[in-house]
Amino acid sequence: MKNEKAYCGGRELLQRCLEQLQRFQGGKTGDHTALYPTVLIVMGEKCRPHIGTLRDTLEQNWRNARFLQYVNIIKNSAGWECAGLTDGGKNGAYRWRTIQGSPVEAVSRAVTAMLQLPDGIFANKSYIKMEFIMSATEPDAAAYYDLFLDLGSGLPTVDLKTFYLMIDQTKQEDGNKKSEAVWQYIYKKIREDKKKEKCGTLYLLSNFLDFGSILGEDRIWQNYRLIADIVLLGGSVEINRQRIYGGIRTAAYALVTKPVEAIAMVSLEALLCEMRAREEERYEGELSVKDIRERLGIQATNGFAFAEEIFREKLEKRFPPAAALCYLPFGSAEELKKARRAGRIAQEDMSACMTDAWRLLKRRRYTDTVKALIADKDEIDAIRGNVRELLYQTFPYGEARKLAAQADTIKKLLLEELRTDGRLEQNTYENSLYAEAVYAGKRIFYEKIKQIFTEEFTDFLEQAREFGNLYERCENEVKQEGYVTASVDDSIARFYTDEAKRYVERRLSDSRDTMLASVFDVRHREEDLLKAVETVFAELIEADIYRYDFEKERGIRMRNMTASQQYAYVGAELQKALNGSMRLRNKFSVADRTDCFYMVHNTADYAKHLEQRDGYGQQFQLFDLNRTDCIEQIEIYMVTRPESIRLD
Amino acid sequence: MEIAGFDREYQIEDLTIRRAGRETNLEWRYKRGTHFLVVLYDGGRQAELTDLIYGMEQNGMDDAAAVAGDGGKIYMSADETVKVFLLRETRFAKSSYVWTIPAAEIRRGIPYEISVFAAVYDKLCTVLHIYPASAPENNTQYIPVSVRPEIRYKRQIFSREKICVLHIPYLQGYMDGALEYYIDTVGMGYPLPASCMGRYLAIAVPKAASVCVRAADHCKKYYRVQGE
Repeated sequence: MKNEKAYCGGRELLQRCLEQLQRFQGGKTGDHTALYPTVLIVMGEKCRPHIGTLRDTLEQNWRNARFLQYVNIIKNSAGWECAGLTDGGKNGAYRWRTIQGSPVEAVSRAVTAMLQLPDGIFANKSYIKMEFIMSATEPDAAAYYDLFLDLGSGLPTVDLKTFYLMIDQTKQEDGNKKSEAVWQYIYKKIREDKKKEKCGTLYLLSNFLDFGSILGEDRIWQNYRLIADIVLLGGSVEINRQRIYGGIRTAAYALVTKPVEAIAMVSLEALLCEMRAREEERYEGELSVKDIRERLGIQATNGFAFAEEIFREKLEKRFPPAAALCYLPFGSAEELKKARRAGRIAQEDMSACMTDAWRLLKRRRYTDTVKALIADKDEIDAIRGNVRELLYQTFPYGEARKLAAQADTIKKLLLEELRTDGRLEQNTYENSLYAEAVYAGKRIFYEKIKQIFTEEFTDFLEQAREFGNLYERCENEVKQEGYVTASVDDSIARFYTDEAKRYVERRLSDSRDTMLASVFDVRHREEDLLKAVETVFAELIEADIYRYDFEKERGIRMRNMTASQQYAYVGAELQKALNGSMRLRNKFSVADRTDCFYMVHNTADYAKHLEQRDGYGQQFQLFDLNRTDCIEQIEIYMVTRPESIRLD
Repeated sequence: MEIAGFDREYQIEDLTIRRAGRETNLEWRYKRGTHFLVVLYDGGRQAELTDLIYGMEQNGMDDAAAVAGDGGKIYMSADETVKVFLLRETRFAKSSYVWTIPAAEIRRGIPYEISVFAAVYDKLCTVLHIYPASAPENNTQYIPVSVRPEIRYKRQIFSREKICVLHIPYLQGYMDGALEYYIDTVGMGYPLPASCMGRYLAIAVPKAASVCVRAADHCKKYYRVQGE
């Protein structure tokens, strides 16, 4: 648990920065439309969390996607419970709203709602497309399948009724055994459906890929994106439905995206590193004692400028003025006259009673006033605040780190005894006594001030040290997270590291720029630091390069390659991702490849390149995907030996 | 001796001091109690009840012996500034609820602070339980010292000032700063140390000024300046 907490800062920063970068990658809704009214029916609860991926993909690519209907059917002890999908609150999260009635009624209502829409929204209302999605580990999966067989009967769905079985072939919670049991049940039902009227098309989509990789929680969304792609392919005008529907099928899927994660990681890492380096190099060398004295406002008397002001405002104004001291009592009239004639009076000439009276007055009206102030917690807290603020304003982080080496010297400097300002010798005895009283009060005052200053200075150095550690930890966590989550090729590392360095250089060329000051603030706690770095990152990614689409970004980053070399690179990446990515792992080969589709934006050069390739239209087809940050490739497989499938 | 918890039934109220010649009589009202602890402090030298009890115990105070006494002094501090008397409730009631401080215990020129506490003697445990007061003003009174300062002025020719000659008779046990002289045109009080008592002090004051003597705020209970 401790490790997880310690990992949070840099990881969270990277996640936030990645989200920022991803916001630039979307496009407007595509030019395609759904040909048929389509209802997507989620059976059970396990697939519900992923409906967002599916819906987002459809809405990005179909102009009329918002008219599709989504129904969730859950089996409970009382029977069936139905819900419809609505748009959610501010963050756009989807929510399910309970629908009254049986599943048949709910689905019928959904279909009716679409059929009642004006003509033109759906080009062909002769058929209803029904897409069912269910997890093979759903409790009562068999009951759900039976319901599926009944739903839609009577409706003209024909080959537009598809069941996507999300298989779990891992041993976690006996997923593989449950999946095998459900598969056997479904297969039996398919065999029984001699006329092929009820079962529609079955897609088997496992989390265990052919070549052995498992799609965990962080990647299972790919299967739902795949479902959305199949729905797009099957529900748009251009594609021949026969290539998508009929029988038992599975698919292989490859996704090559603009390496947004890697870009975010490299950019952030380089930004953190470069900022730190520049902050450190700004403050090379030791500060001289003279500089420190000047910066802290330490005067020739070893007092502090800010403390002198406090003394003047809060204490000296409350002292009796010098003029009042000429009314002290003398031991006799002769003594008084002598003192007045002389204008001054030496200590030794003062009688005992005058000395005692003066001592008493000095204590009560001068030093006790000072003591009362330094005993006042609120006053002392305010003074501490002043000292802290003085330190923050005087020493930026880079300097504060270096001050640690001079800590003892500085503390000695702070604690140097207060000296008089030479005003004790005055022309009249009342002025002399006054100066003496003020000095006595100041000594008491400064004793406290110097103690406070030293304490705050020590805390300040410690704060600077801790901040340095925080920054370093954050930097390391970003690096570590990058190793785990993002595969970074050399071109990304080189290009975006340079980009970040150039950005920092540009900012620092303006001496008024406050970028480093906003990040390197010893007062920052973890959240403050993350926010500050995130803000700088947001400014960094304002640059055009971060907003380019997949091709343009790749083109600039790999400008050393020719166009054909770049196409070959993309093709190789797709193939690499596609190999062994069939969504069904089985001991024996049970399926044959029937088709290949490339989902790519039609303005992409790669799309034009594919159109020129041999086999276009026969061996593979293109689908105009309304995203500019990726290329997808899907291979459809027909399961020809279902009897040989073993999921456990 | 132990300090008991606060109890409304064991409170002293309306403590009054009446002086008749050399006699100093104390009167007070109460609800319950078997004994009364009367503490006499020289002005300004008050101690906390806990410290007092500690001092008495250190001195070998025995509760049983103390209660067996008959209103006499059971303790005196080493510097004689604190004196403690213990009297029985029955005796107090018999004397019409008046108790006279022995004349020898009150000296002229010294201000006194007197506190009275109700107490209950537990015979079984031989412990005297003393009940603290809810507020000092209920069970504490003062015998201030009357001060009669002497103030004269000497005019000075061709001067904007005059000399004030101030004399305050010697006060035994006077604490530094308990009295101060105040010059009206300056608007400030000057505390007087003990070394100024009994002396004729010369103070230059503005010609139009007048000087008075008054007790410092925290000592008004102990000194009463005549003419103030």
